[in-house]
Amino acid sequence: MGRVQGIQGGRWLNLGLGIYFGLILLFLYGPIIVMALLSFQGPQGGMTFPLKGVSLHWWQRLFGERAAELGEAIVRTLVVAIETGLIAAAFSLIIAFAYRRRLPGTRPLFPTVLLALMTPGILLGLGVSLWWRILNMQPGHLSLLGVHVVWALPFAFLVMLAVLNRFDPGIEESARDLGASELRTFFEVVFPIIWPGILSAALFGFTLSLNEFERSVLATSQNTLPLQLWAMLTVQIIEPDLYALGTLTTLITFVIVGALFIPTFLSQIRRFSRRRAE
Amino acid sequence: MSSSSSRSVTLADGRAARTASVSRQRLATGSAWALLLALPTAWLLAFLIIPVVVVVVVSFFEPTLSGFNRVFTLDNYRLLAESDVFIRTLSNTVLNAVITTVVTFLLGFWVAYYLALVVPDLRRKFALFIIALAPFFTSFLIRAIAWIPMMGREGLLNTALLNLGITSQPLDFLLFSDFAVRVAMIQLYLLFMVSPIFFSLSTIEPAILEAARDSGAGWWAILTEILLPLARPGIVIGAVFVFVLSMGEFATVRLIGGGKTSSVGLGIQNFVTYIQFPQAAAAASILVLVTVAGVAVLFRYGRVAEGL
Repeated sequence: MGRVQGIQGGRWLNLGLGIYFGLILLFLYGPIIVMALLSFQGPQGGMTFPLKGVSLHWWQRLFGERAAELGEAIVRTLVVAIETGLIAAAFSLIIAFAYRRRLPGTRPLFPTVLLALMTPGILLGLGVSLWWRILNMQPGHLSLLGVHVVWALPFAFLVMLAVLNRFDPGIEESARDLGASELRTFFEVVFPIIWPGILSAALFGFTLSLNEFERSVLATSQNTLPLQLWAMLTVQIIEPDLYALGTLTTLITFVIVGALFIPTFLSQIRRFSRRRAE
Repeated sequence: MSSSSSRSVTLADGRAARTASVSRQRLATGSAWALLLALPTAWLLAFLIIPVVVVVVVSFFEPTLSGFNRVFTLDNYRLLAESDVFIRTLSNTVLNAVITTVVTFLLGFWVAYYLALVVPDLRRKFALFIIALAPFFTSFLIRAIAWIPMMGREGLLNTALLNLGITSQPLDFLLFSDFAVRVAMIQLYLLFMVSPIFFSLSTIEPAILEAARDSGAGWWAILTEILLPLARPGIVIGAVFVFVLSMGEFATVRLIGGGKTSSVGLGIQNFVTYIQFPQAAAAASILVLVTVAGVAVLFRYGRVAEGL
């Protein structure tokens, strides 16, 4: 009993909560799994059950006709996602460092970054498109990248704060005391220690941008993959190859999330248990 | 170097020189930092602050066939206020957001409770948390359309209900209805509620719970007098997230609601489609005003400042 710290309530209650947690996971994953199953629908099958045979028909269509149709959007999506990841990582690094040192001018930045998290996507998209209109510019790559970075920045910033919290400022100070310049301290001392954190901030931004829709829909005139998907969903009759596309992008996202979290959390757990042991 | 006194002088000189160089360096770093900080500041200004301000400004402009004239008018607001459709849409949006917020709390609290207080092993705790968190990163659009085969007339839920003999004919309200939109939104935003509650419950010292138990507090007393008050900041932050996100929702409403239901977000998109920018901006401004009012109520009611 004493070994299991913080346990609350009786055995039956905890068992019930375990079952409940399983049901919630079913609620979260169920539709995705059903969608994946239906992507293997036979050629005559539709968007819902019953399965009319099992085939790779819709996957072949996805990689055939659809791929040609979507190619441009896929490339554009990847380019914006990579740029978003890099810019969000760089910005969050700057803000987190400045914030940690309590430099003047950082005080209003923190609530602004949080405001970015709370601004409805449709509002941001509308605002950028109207502003571009006033400036007599056509919304395009820059306006899209702009709102994507605004969306990714709060998450990247929180990751960076967590990373810097674990980083001992003494190391930085001693490097400077030994006469290393600010730049040299950063590149030769700080960066080698915190680069995994910078990478996860960038991956965070990449993933968020990859799947971003609500901010993008009004902010650009060029389709990204989610925008193209939206056009298909609202204008065309939808077919199971969209389930194949959904399954594919979901799988890609899970792989990135796994790569992102597993190493970070393993090290976190190791630190945690070490601290407990002490 | 012959006498000790000259040596100490050199040392002192060196120290003075070093202090000077350090302060010069500080000054240089100061302006370098200002330059670096200017980048994200300018970005946030250009793509967050100014767009929001522009929306408010344009909402007072006169609409034209191709956009807007820079002439002040209150007509956009007057038209919206007089429109029954808009008022109904707004109240429906608020209702959906409130229901989503309340249900995600009722469902999410126990998920956070289970993860933070029941799962004993730290490794398992984080593993389960990541598994529950992962769907958040996938596309919201994909997650919305994934509900179609679940809820349709021939969907999984209806088939199951029919086969179990619970209903004698397919339930139509399952898809393309407010009910379906709410279920999908609850699924989309549940994790925004779970995560902050999980983090605030995780920071509670086990010793506090042990002390309460030792002094005879039962499960209910511990829940209502220790856990809920200590989790309050997390609950309020989660509620703010879910409320704000569901107020701005439009993709789910369009895909799952199937034209039978609407939201202000969807209305804004429709206005833009018909190049009615000032009306879109006025609707967006009202949406923000109502959302901010809701958030203020949550903060006030939740007394977050006290809890932090």
